[in-house]
Amino acid sequence: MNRAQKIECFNLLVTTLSTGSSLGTVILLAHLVGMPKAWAGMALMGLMGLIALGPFIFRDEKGQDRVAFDERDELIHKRASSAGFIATYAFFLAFCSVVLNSVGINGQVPGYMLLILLAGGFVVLMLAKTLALIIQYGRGGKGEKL
Amino acid sequence: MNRYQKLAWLNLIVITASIIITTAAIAIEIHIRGYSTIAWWCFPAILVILKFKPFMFKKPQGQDKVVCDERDNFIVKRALAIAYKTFWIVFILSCFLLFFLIGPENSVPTMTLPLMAVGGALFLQIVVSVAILVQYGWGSKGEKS
Repeated sequence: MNRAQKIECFNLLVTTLSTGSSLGTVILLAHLVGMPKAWAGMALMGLMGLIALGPFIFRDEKGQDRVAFDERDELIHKRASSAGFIATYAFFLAFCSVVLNSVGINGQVPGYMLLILLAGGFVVLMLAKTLALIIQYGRGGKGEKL
Repeated sequence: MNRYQKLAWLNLIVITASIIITTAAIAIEIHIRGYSTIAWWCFPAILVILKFKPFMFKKPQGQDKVVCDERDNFIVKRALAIAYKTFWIVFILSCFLLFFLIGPENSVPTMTLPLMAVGGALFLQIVVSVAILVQYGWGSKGEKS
């Protein structure tokens, strides 16, 4: 498993954990204190900031004979970015459709829904991008070391 | 000017024209008989032109014709990457700006969300087109396709 795969696995883990824990907390708080105070559980989405630590945890091995990133990796990353963006936009459209259907065209949407849309979009982006990268690399290691 | 440049110019011209004509139509309508939503239909009506792009700029036929090479692919991919990044920055800023402008206790009309989606798609198209044109150098350098 190369460095990019390790980072993406770490990203997937962090995204799943932060999303799961924040949704769980929102559901728990909804039972205890009711909505909209339960949305405070979304604060746990801040755990996604741990993603920034990925490159530091899985450091690039130094050495002149080491190739850290080649054309194939670049192509994989670009394709994964496209997949992430398409998934995010699809989520965005689905979110708009659900809101339009449930509230109606003349209805009102609370301001905090914009932040939920943003957080949801970011989660979908990370999940789609990470999954696309892991799938393209072939999930597991194929003997390459970095 | 190659096919990608022509497509990029068409995108920019159609989107700009649709914005200008719709704004003018709304202004004229308000001046004549007051506000209604009819003038807004100019916007999608003009944007329909973009659906005819494949017919307007056909891929060159024939075995000796090269539609695009590695450089063209690289330029388009870089333009898309720039557009994705710019879209995310603008999306985050617009959500936060709207949230702070209206306040956490207030609401926005439901129509804001689909308008954001359409606006986002148009913004993406504009950024891709401008990025392609900037990378090719805006004008023609003698290449034909």
